[in-house]
Amino acid sequence: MNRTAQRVASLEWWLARTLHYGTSLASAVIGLGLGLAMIDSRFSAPRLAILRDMSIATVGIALFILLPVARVVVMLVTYLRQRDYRLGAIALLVLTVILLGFAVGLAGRHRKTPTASMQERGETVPPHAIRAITRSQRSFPAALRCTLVQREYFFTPQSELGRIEYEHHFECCN
Amino acid sequence: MDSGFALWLFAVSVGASALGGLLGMAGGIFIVPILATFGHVDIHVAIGTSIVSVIACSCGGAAPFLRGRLTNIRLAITLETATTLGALSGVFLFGIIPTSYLFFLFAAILLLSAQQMIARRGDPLDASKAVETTDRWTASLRLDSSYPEGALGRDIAYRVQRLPMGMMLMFGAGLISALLGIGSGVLKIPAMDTALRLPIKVSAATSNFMIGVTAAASAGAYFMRGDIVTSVAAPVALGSVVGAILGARTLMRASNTSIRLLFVAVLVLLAAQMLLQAFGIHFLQGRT
Repeated sequence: MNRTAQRVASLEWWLARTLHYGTSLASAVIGLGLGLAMIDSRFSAPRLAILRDMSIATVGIALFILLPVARVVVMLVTYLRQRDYRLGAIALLVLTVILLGFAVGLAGRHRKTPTASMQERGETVPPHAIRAITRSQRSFPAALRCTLVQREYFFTPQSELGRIEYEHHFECCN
Repeated sequence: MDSGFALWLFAVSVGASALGGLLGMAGGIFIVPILATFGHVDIHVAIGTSIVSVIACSCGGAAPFLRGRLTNIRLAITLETATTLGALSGVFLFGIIPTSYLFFLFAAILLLSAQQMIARRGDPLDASKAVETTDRWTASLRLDSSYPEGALGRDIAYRVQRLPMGMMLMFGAGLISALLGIGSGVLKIPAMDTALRLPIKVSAATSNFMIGVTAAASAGAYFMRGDIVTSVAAPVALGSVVGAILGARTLMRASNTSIRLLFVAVLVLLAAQMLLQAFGIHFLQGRT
């Protein structure tokens, strides 16, 4: 009994550690990405490869999303090592459902920008919101796709990031 | 990169998650209405943003609970099967449900939270004596546990009851969480109170632990789909971590009743605003 209690405590310790360091790492990456993007926009420095707009911050967000997944993996490994196969199976099921979520998202990628659908509904959007929405296509998977298809994507000047250019770019990506 | 807008987002999310952290909730319930009404962000973008902030809050806040042995990990992973499945269903519904319904549903959840704030939670401690029937699921998964009670200086054992009913409620909580981008602790905690009959401290810690995993299922889907806008989500995620830490620190000092009243006022105000928006009335303009 005492041994089991010790093992459980070690699982809690591992989870706390994973969460603590994971949160710090993801926050640091987001902070770095935001800082670089802000410096970039303020001084409009020549675009270096590393300052590709928000891609560093996007990686930070991805880290945050992966953190609970890592937590489930830690649990799965611990339960399997404890030969607690029932809980192991449950952890595996949870992991499968989460990965299924990723797959569902990948399958249902937007073919239409949110901006377009808002205009269809006749909603007016202030410029900063359009800019924000425009960037949705600069999300990591989208950027990756575009890199594979068309390298020019990253080198489009910031000032031209308008809706028209956007739709053009979007056609390229499909 | 619009620096001013990013700073505004950062400040708002620090405030929202600090306010949420004061009563042990994620800030998502404030972030979505504020972004959607004052920030003029599309509600779908606001929800995607909020779900990331919910993960950030949950991950930042879970460590102290784990160290204090308040989280029932075995129960959490068991219930997570239901919440993640619910979240997955929510992802499917997300694109289908009309925007005005989302506003409406959100207003309903806000009012429900306000109602829960007013009705104080009683500890169902006597329940452990009253009902001694353990169902076979609980027994075979060894979900019963104990937690250290600071005031008494010893461990208190508790039983987990009516697991199937709890699972069903958790499915609903996961669905709402994915659909509205909130942690839906507001649905999880009553589910744990009424169905599973857990002590308050345990249900708060376990709910916080589950929120992150539930949100990861929907956030993963939204992220891959391109629904999460980095330039909005990044400042909010960062702000939520800062706010959650601040909120947890203040929790020790602030008086309980005044926070509750502030909470109820804010929740009702936001609910009214969301209802107006659901009917297409733009009454408060806020930031232009």
